[in-house]
Amino acid sequence: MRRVFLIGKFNEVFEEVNHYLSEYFNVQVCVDNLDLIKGMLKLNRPDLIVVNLTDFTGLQVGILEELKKEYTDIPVMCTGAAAEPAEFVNIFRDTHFHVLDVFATHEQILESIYEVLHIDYDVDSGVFRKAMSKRKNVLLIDDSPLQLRTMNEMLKGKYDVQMATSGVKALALIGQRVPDIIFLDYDMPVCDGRMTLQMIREIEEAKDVPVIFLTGVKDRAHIQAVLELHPAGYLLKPASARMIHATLQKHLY
Amino acid sequence: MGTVKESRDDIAVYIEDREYMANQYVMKCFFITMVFYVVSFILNQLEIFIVDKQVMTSGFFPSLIIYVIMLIGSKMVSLSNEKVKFFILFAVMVVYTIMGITITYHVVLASVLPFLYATLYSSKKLMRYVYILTIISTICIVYGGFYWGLCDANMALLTTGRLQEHSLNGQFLLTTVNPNPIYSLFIFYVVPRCLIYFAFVFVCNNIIRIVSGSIEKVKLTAELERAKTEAETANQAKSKFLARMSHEIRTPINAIFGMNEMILRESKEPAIRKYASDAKDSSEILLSIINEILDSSKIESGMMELVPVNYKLGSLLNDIYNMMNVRAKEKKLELIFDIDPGMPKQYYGDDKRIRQILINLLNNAIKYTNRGKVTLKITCDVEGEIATLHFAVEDTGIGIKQEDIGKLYEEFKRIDSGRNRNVEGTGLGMSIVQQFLKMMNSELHIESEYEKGSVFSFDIEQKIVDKKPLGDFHKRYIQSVDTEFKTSFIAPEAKVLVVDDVEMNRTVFKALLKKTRMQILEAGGGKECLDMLKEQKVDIVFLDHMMPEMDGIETKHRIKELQLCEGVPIIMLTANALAEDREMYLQEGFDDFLSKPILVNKLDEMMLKYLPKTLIMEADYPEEEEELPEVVELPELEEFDFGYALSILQKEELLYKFLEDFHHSMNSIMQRLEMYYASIEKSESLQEYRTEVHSLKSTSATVGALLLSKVARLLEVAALEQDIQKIRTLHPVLLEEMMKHKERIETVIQQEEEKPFAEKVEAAYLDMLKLGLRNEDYATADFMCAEIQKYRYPKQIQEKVNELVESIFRLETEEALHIIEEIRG
Repeated sequence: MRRVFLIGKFNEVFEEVNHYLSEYFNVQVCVDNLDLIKGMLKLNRPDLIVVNLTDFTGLQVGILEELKKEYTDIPVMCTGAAAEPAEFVNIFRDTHFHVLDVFATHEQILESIYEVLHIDYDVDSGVFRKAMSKRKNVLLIDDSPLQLRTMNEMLKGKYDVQMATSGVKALALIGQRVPDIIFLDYDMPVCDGRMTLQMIREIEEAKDVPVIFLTGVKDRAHIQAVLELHPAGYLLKPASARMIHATLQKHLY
Repeated sequence: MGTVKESRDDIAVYIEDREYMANQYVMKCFFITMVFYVVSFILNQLEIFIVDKQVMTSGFFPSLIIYVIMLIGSKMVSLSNEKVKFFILFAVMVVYTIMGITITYHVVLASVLPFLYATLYSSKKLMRYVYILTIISTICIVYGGFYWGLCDANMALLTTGRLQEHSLNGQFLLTTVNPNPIYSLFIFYVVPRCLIYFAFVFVCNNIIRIVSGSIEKVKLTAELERAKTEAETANQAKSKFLARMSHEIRTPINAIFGMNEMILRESKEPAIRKYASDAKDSSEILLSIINEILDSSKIESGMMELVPVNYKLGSLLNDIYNMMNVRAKEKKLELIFDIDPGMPKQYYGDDKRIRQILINLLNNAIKYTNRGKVTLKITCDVEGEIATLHFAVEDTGIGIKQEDIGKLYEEFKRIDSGRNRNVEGTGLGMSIVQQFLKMMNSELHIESEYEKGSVFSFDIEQKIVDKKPLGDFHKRYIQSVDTEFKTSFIAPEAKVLVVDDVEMNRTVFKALLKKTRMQILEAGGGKECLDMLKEQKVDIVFLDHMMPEMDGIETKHRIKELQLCEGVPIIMLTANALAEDREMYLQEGFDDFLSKPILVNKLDEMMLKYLPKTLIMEADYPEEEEELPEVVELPELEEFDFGYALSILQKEELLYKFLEDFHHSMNSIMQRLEMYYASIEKSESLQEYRTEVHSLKSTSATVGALLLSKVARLLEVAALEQDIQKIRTLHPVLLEEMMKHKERIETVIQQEEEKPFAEKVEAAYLDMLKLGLRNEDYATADFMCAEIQKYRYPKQIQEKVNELVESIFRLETEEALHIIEEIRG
């Protein structure tokens, strides 16, 4: 999956672009702070930098200058209209920047990105999505943050991980985006795994998502109770990274 | 040490006994004497048997004094030695005689006999002296009294028949007519009176004994009844507990067995192989002990039932012979099976139990025999459809003392434990045998000669299924050895499918079959199994019983419905070792079942039995080299099991990262715990407390702090059960341990280096962080968090930042957003 580094002031336009591009790319957003941009670029080299100029003033010129000078090997694309466009005219002269029209729609932006990155596409048949192998989304539900953190460390990089410390929070996350698989802790205070599972099963979009139970309780009656809920599987805590990966492999592919 | 202490205890008990007896007799005799006085007083009043009044009073008080002396004396009997006792006795007698002579022999006669009789009742030697002394003193008293003219009227009448007023003070004077007064006095007076006293004491003694005895008995019966019910309740609880525990224990043993087997197969280091083989022996012993406990507890809790099936005696004995012969050979003993060749071949009964009985008896025989032979004799009487089988196990072992035979059936009792302490066992075997036989309406007979050997025999009735004769057992056995001993084989062409939802179990299974070079296919569930069977043909299938989604039995039915692999043997893998389950599996159409823990020999046997013979080949094990996984160097830290942590986290960096995170979060965890603890009586606080220890339990285990995790677990349980008292006890322990752990972690993780100083938190960072949090995008949030932490801030802001980092780590989105606003001011 291609990485796109999106720079801009946090405003409505920026949010929209971010939201739209996230459907197709692994988007990393960043505010208009030069140190921060440098730091993040050092951390993760993107395939493309997109700068949303909306609300940019003369103060932000430095950012573009830096990109022009130091990051010649990464293609840069500018979208949106700056508040003080006059300041940027000089910058755009003989650069490797791809400057888009101020009124370019999201589709047009996407098209240009595909062109810049040399990806085959077919706009009419809507192959965009299919051309992408999206990362699978894993939802972890556990009352213990450290437990979640452990799992997150094991999975991040290979999966998109979302974490929820309670059943209710998990439902909110599922509402935003239906995960491909769910790991659910059985023994949670207040709203336990059984209740959470029942709630998940009541959501129409999420009722077929495989749910793997994680349980620390080893006694037979307990496991029996878990099995009666017909989960896609269960793992005993503490589950090793190998086990978790194997389980994901089994259920996702 | 033990014997010295025992003998001391014995002496103490002995002394107590003596003291008690002496006291009791003194009291009895005092009572008898009092009765005597009352009787003689009445007789005196009625003028039937006249005793001088002065004599009565002067006799009563000295007797009283003497009883006091005697009470003291009886204490001394138990404390002092023989010589002192004799001296006291002699002194008392002398005093007595003098008193008797000067006051009156009459009173002395009344009291002295029971007194002596009683004081020294329990020693025969002393008794003899007492009688002699009594007679002497009586003669002295009578003679002295007579000589000095102090005898009373009755006496005079008896001895002489004549009575005269003697002196001024009213005493009688005796005119001697009888030529031999002492002699007649003795015959007519002393002897009959002595006899009457003896008889009287004897009768009273018996009455007292009967009365007190029956009181004791009533008390004892009540006590026994109570103790019995108590013991029974406790026993039942114990049995249930044991039955449950044993089941729980069996499951992990599977892994121990399997892994050990893997070590034995894969390691070439002789030292390691030695350790592993020792571990294997021990785990086998452990398993057999657990099986014994399981059996005995099942019997006691009434869960054990006989499960009769058709069985062949020959193959039953064959199994037993194979198993026992190995042990016998180890001890260089001869094992002989003397089986009547004419007896029927096949029976209907519970072969499992018969097998267990025979194995137990033979095992015992081999255990307690050091040279010679062990023989199993079986003969049979046929009456129509019923055969009575006579089993007898003979050995040339150490034998059992006659008085010990009863102890054989007691649970956990080991006969002659001093002599046999190096023979292992639970002491349950015989009790189980006895109980099984009882279930089959039989009992065990034991004949034994100490140091020579024993014979254990029993008879059981079994229905005959096949009357064909059994034949010569030894010939049959030798024939079957050829086929059964082929444990080393390979089958590279054979395809085996193992279906188990637990990966560990599949790993064990695969490892056990590694040497056979079979092609092993794995499936993690019923569905997967069906898919695989659709695609390819396999030669044998092993199915686990308990699986999520589709269990083993359902999978089996589906295989049959879909006609996936007809004629392919399907074998059930199960941790349920109960006999009734076994029946169920066979009824459900499984070809056989294999109980977990999987024993390698059983598995090999299964393979040999069910795999097509064309696939099995002779083994030619070429040694294979296997690379061991790289061992990671981990720091040693007290109370931390980093090996365990690594088995979960897999990567060393992760471990360090989490150790650091854990270290960071410890302070706030402790703070929160203290906060909730302060108001623990409130149910909300208790709930919060529980949540907190619950998460501490798993997080501490993740970094390998297993002790901490256990303490947290105890507290969680206590909170769940609302056991405030327990929480109060454990809470300080937990906090103390947390402090200690914190200090320990500090020795391992790197100290924070000096950071650059910043006046305030970069607003852009906060913006990014906020965005990340709003979208629940923790990847971004974590990154920003790390960026923010790269600087030092003024104290006030630093505190806020720490809070922020902590709340983000705990995924408290709302709280984190709130703190961001606070930092912004």
